[in-house]
Amino acid sequence: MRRLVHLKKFALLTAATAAFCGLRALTADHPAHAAANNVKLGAQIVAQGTKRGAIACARCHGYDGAADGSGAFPILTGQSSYYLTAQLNNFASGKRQSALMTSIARNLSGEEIQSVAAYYSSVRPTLQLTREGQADLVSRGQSIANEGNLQNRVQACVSCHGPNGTGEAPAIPYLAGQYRHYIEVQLKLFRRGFRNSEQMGTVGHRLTDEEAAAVAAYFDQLPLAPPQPAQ
Amino acid sequence: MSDGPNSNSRRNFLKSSLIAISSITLPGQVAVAAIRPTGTNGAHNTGSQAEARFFEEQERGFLEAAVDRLIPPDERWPGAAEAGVVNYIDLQMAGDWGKGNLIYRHGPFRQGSPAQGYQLEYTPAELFRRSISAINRSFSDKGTTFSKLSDEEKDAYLEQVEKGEFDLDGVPSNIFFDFLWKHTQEGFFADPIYGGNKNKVGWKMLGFPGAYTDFYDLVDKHGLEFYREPVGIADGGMHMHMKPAGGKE
Amino acid sequence: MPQKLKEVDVVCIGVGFAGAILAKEMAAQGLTVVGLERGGPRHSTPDFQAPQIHDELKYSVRKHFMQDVHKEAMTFRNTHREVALPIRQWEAFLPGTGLGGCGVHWNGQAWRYQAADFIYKTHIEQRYGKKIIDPDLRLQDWGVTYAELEPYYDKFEYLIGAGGKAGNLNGKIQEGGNPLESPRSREYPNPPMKEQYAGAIFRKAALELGYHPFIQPSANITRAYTNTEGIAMNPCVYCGFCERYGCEQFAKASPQTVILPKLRQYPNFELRTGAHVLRINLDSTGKKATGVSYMDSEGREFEQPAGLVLCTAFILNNIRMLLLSGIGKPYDPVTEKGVVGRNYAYQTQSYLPVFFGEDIHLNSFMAAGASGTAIDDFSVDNFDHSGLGFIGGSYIMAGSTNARPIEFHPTPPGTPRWGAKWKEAVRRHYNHTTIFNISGTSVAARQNYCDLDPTYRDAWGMPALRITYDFPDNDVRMARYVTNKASEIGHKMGAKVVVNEPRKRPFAVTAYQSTHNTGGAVMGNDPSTSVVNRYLQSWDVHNVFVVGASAYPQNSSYNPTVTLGALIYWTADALKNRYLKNPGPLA
Repeated sequence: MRRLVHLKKFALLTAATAAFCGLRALTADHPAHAAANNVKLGAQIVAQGTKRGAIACARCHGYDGAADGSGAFPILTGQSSYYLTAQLNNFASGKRQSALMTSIARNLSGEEIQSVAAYYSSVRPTLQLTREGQADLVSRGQSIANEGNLQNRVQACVSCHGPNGTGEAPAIPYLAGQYRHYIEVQLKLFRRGFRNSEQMGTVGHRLTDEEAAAVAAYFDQLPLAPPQPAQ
Repeated sequence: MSDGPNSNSRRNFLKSSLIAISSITLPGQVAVAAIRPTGTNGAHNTGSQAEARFFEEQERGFLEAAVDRLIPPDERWPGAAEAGVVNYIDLQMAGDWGKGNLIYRHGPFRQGSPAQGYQLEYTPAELFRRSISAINRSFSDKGTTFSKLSDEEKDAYLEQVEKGEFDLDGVPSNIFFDFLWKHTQEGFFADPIYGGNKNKVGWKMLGFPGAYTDFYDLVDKHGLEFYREPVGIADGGMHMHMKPAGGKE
Repeated sequence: MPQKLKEVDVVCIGVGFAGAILAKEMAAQGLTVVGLERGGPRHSTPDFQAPQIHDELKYSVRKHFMQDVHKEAMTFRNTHREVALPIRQWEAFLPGTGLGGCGVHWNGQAWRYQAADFIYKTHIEQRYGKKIIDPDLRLQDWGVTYAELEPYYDKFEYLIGAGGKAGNLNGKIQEGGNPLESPRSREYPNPPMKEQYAGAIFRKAALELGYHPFIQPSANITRAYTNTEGIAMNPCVYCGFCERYGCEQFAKASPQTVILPKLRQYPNFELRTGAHVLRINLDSTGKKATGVSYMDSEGREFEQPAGLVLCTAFILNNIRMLLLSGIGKPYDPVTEKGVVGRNYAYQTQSYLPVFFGEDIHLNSFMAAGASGTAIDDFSVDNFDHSGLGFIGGSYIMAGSTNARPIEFHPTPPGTPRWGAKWKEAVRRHYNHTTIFNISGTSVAARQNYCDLDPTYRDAWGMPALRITYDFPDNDVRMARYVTNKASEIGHKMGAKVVVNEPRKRPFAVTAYQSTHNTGGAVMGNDPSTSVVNRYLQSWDVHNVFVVGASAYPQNSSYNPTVTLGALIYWTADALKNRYLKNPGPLA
């Protein structure tokens, strides 16, 4: 059940404040005005795609990064630009596999990747919605997320994913407010090696399907993570 | 020779120390994590400037002025007073640490060599109280207080304290200074759950990231200019969970 | 009256690495085993979970995982001419307590010793002659050789999932490893740790000076790993809260992560925490142990009869247990008679602060407990000591294990101790400073020893352990020599300031140095100079084995834990293959 909490005005922050998510040196050569261009270019690609045939991101991810709510596409709103950049690079290189994203990522230049990452990182949600989850599942997920699980040797999700799953800038993404279906699928992909990560591979193996559903339900019903603080 | 193993004195000593319930664990079971019966190190989960726990007003007056000379404010960064260092010390003195529960307190007490460390019979709280009372008295005898001095005068006085020029009612003043300085640094840099490092100012000044620290992806990015708003233990305050069991129970 | 419990086959005093591994080995033989741990139970979750484990005040400053010094302290003096006084707060070394022991809060630096270490007396005398050895020093051979222990090193390394690159594989020097290590029979189970920036700058400078840098071997797991007991471990995330802390990631090798889950599966093993062993009980002949007496946390005393007693506590507590139990003759430094407490040594630890310009961002808080790039060129006897006037050496390591701000906020010499200039210097230098770790040999000396204190007691009324120790002059000379070498490397790295202050006398208990105390119940082939034989079996009471770094006749340059791991498995084999089949003296 969706519950409308409040309506926010659509706002696009300037890149000088929001785009870098705390990681200067990766874009250390870009002064503030070039950063603003990054987001502008990103917005263009998101809306229109690229000349080389990369499809407009908004078609699946929406202009505000909230996608269609099904969980087939992740929420990108306010996600760390470093993380988004890394994922696009991983799609391009094959380190992360996806029928849809691989060819898209390969059709983006390095600058274009950074731009769309900067754009989605800078976006604030149009609507602040929270979703409810099944109480038992959420409660179980909360326990695993905050304390881990001794039986199958899983550490607390928050130890890496930040307080209440709001992420640990810049490399570790937020989970708070992420679609539960998406989280569940990712955990399975980590387990099977279609996504490659030393840490998440083991987590994927250790969590049972039920536990994966529980943590996914827990994070899903949290308010969307606030954006990473600006530099 | 020692008392018999079941003598009352030993039992009372054991019971008066911090003993949690022992656990006999059957194989296959997870042992019940013992919870310390008294507070741990005065940690408390509010960031507010708490009501006074240990220090009296005049003692706080001295401390606020003194710590602000040890770590003074400047244009960019607050000093120790604004960072809540006195609040930190106050809470520490009111808790286990101040009461001496984390120190071996049996006599006989003898003066040792510097290599042998602290040998006074005072708990940290007693040491602070004695020393500050003696200092305050020495100023009130002259009709003034430490806080009324100019910054330069305060520094000069503290240097004398540091050099051990005073006997503070049984505490060599250099020992008091060392305690005060150590606690000031702790209060400036510890997690804010302990009542100091307000707004994580100590961490921000250094660029220390705080309590959430997964750096697998970044550790080998040599030369990375990394700054992230520090995040403390209490920042995920939405959930409650059991205090972790210690190793001493 | 103490309650007498049902007899078991084996009792372990202390359930750290030694107690846990030996308990498992014995339980797997079908024996009934009781593990007595005086600290509390603790597990990776919830006890070690982040963010609450990342609490520098609680664990580093207030020493939460360490022995409760309020109840039991040790006393200390530099020489026998002084009166020993209680170590009222732990600082210089930090004896742990609790399930898992030091294995919970160690850094995981996973070194082997050198072949020369195990025959140190023979080796030094043969290479240099006896004159190089100061007259107060007491070098001894261990009674076991590196070659004998090699398979057990291997076994322990595969248990803990050690990460590194072999430098010497069966005599063939390998690229990328430590070419000066003693030969190993196969590769490490996991790859080396990632290199930090400080380590990379060090590597370059060390190479330019003709040294052989390599990444320090590590027990912070470097990739997903299932160990030899079938227990899965996770990769380290370089969180910078390793020494003093438990690991939230299941990534640091500790009994919790490598053996306890397996051990707990045996119905014939029982763990009792909060169980403070008072003494090992002997029969009327004094030559056979009947079990132990212990007190629980409510002050009730129990007698636990056992056929075999494994004294597997921390080295200092092992020594004390023997003294309190009347096992072995206590050492007298004047007459040099007696053995218990003899050959007590430490780790000659020097630090070298290296300050860079503000353009070098080190991010030292991104660190694992075993992060580091090291050179072995000046360790042990890896270099020619002819004419140098000392024996022994140190490894030199750059990198960081942490940059936790209460304890790490270095300032260059000349900075005032407090005030505005101090504050500015701290801010300025925090992320641009590294501190080399120069870890040195510690040779045993006649005058350094442990015994029972005549005055001070613990909460149970038992005499405290008394430590009489100062750095032998040999070790001070060694530290100066190697620190000078380290200083050259620091300058070569482009440092603005290098602080060359090697370890000096007196040894003080007031600031942290190292918890690598060794000796006091040493192993050997000669009962007049050792407490246990080469299988760590007591010469005096054949059903007591004393397994800890207490067995080391002197300390090498390296961290002692992995060598202890090898000895644990070596002793386990002796128990399984020989002692249990035919109880009695093995040597």
